[in-house]
Amino acid sequence: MDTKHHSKLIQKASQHQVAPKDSAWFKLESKLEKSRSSEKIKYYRNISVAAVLFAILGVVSVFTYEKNTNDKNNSEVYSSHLQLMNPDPEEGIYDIKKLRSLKEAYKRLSTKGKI
Amino acid sequence: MDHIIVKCKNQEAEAQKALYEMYKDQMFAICMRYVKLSHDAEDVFIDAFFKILTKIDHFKGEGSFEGWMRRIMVNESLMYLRKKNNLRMTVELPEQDIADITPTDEDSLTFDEIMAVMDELPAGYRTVFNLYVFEDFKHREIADILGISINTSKSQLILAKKRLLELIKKKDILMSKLNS
Repeated sequence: MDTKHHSKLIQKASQHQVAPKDSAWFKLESKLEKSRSSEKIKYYRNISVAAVLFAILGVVSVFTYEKNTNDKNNSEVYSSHLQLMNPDPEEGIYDIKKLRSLKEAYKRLSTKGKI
Repeated sequence: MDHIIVKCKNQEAEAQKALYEMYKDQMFAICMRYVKLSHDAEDVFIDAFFKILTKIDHFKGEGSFEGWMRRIMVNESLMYLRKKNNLRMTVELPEQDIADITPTDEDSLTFDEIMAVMDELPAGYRTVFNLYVFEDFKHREIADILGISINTSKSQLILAKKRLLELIKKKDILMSKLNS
């Protein structure tokens, strides 16, 4: 095909116009509306999933903090009791009777759910 | 124009309508060249414009916006034709025949003459003709786009031109008979 003629055809094609029916816009508009609504739904769904995850994280971290605090308190009580019982800390000798009573006390504390 | 594109990227309804009004006639004409029936062409046109308006943020400003839209229209038209299985192209001329082709009458057909009879071309001829003559693709590119060989592309173009000339001559004879 002659290049000049070909270029002319390309130009004519780019300028060629055919009007669609008016209904085409209404069909397109309703598709666009649906798309906008579904985008909004996705957005709010993502926000609520993030909020739920944060809430779960918050509950877990509070629970973990309380547990750690209780454990720390209990271990401090235990070590102070040991010190009271021990007449000679350097030698590391413990009164067996006092050790047994401490063991009983711990059992009672754990059944009450305080340890 | 740039401010309309920016507003369309924010999915503003008024800007989308303005863009549609600016380009609807040109873009619909592209679909009509590829798809034979006007109600099918309208469906392709709506799907393609929907893609343009919802994926407008993919346009990064490289090249012309109109060219980007035209590519989407052509791709949607081709997808439609593939779905309808209308792109069966099995006729291939021997390489010697292709090499022997010299410019003939069909190479001087005017745009109006072509458009008057283009609907009557089979889908395969029409598609290759559109891609080569109006979209200015090379045969290698057409072969890649349509999944055919380069020789098939060349054959389809030659046969499309011959068929167009036959149809125009037939139409001219019919018109002269009606007028006499």
